[in-house]
Amino acid sequence: MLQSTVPLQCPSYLFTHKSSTNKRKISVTEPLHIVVIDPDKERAFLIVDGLRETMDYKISVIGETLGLARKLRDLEPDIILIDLEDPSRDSFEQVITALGPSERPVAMFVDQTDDKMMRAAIDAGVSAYVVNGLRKDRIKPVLETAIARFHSFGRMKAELEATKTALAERKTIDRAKGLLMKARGLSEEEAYAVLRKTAMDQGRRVSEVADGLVTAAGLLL
Amino acid sequence: MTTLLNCGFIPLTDAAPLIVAHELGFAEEENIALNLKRENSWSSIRDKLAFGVYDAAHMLAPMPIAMSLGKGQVNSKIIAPMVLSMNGDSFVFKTNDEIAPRFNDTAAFIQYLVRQATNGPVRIGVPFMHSMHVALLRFLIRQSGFNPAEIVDFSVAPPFVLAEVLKSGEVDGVFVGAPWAAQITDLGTGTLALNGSAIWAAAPEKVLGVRQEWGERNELILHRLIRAIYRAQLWIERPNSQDTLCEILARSKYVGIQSDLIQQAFSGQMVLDAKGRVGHDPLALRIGGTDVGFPWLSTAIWIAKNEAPAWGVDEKWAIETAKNCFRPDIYRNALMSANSPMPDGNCKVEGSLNERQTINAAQDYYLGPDRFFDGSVFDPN
Repeated sequence: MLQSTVPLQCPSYLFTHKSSTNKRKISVTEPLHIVVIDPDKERAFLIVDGLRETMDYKISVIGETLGLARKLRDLEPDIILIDLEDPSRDSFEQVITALGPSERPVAMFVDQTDDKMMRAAIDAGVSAYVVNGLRKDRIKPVLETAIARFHSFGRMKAELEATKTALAERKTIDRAKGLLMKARGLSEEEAYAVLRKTAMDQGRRVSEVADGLVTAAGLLL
Repeated sequence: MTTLLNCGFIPLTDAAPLIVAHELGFAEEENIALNLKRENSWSSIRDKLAFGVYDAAHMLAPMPIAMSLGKGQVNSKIIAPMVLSMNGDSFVFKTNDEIAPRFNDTAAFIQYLVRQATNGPVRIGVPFMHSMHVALLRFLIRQSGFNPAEIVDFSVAPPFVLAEVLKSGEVDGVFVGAPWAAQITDLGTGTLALNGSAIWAAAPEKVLGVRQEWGERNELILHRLIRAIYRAQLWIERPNSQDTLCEILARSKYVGIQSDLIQQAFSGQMVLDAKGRVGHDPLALRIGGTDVGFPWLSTAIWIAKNEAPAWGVDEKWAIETAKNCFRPDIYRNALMSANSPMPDGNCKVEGSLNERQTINAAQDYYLGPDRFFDGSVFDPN
């Protein structure tokens, strides 16, 4: 049972279907309410998706941190997930500390005795804030899923970057080859050989030499 | 054998001792490869130090104490064997029609603040709650006879974001470390009214933080690190180092801002507003010299005593914890071989020095002024 669906086309506002009761007790039968704070909608999607596969959770996404205090007060989350590197995390911590310090204190992570788990979370770049009083075994699968999803998002991003760079480099090399072919009347293969030899002689990458050539040509012509 | 140490820092001028230790080879001389990582938030620094991603970190002086008390989400015993900098925070009001109080005039400043607070607390942006920014401002308000909670309401954002927060109107003023106050006055969106040095002339601002357990296991490595940073502090103090230092800090991988804005707090010549008024404050920021690094227990006790009520912890416990956090014993041991001048005791009566006082002329050892704004003294005993 999912009480909310996440409109991922538009994560910049907050939504939830939960009726707000102010004095909710944490019960074992009620699904955990997880709030994911993430301006990156693709990553938010990955995390939500992963959590849904894991268990029957209620999930809300906050994409825009403006008015965060009010949003969190309305939502009454059990667990909050946020990117460890997010610059708004200092603001966020002040907000959650002010939410209701005595009644439902919020603590970072789950179990500070489980160093391995926490190190894994930090390495993945996840920080999780947990409302005190939750049983550890209920939190662990959430954190595990978040860790896995942060990792796969990181990998996806790295792959995308690598592909982009490779494409850009190939373009530059093609342009450099073209310049050489025109200026020195070389064939494409010969032009590439010139680039490669220059790169080897100078201990640089072919794309760097090509880049230099394209820049220089741009300045001279 | 070279030891690799991972160390996090926040883009601020007072990260200079760490950056100089790395860039000018002082770390290398001690066979340390300092891997400096620029961080986005103090929370992130805290978590990564607590869980071992970092061996050492640039920290706000109250942070190790708060963390050791289990405040602020993560419970971890952190020690501060060395002070990295003194002072450096500046209070900037959003430019409005009212005439700003005279620069560094605490009495005028308080009057202004209280007047602004007639319709509810003044909203103040600070970089972190466990900070000297918060401790100093609360101290100033309390000592002036007002209740801090009625006068100011704190909002938190990283220092390099505070200019934006002020501009957006979310806050009425910010208390922020160098060089970010200079950025605001340069943009013309705020008026610099007060430096932290006017509240307390020798407030510990940033410290070197390490896990207690790590420090015990790596005693000699920690000593080497302290020596490297100490030599960096001595280099920084040299008059002709300033230009080079500002250029290094200006790089995007460090502070990432124009070097002339960094220069302001160093030189003590600070632009106050869009009209270009200049305020003089030789104590605006102290990073170099022989007297900055010593982690006085009395300053740790001051932080604990002043902040314990707001942190919701027992004062005695806070003081005991603070005394175990600041570690002059480690600092002394580390610098024994460097032949560095040392004070006789680990505690002093804070606020008793109005002027710079020479302790040992032969070693060029002196203590800078440490007066409080109201002339009060703080006796840790």
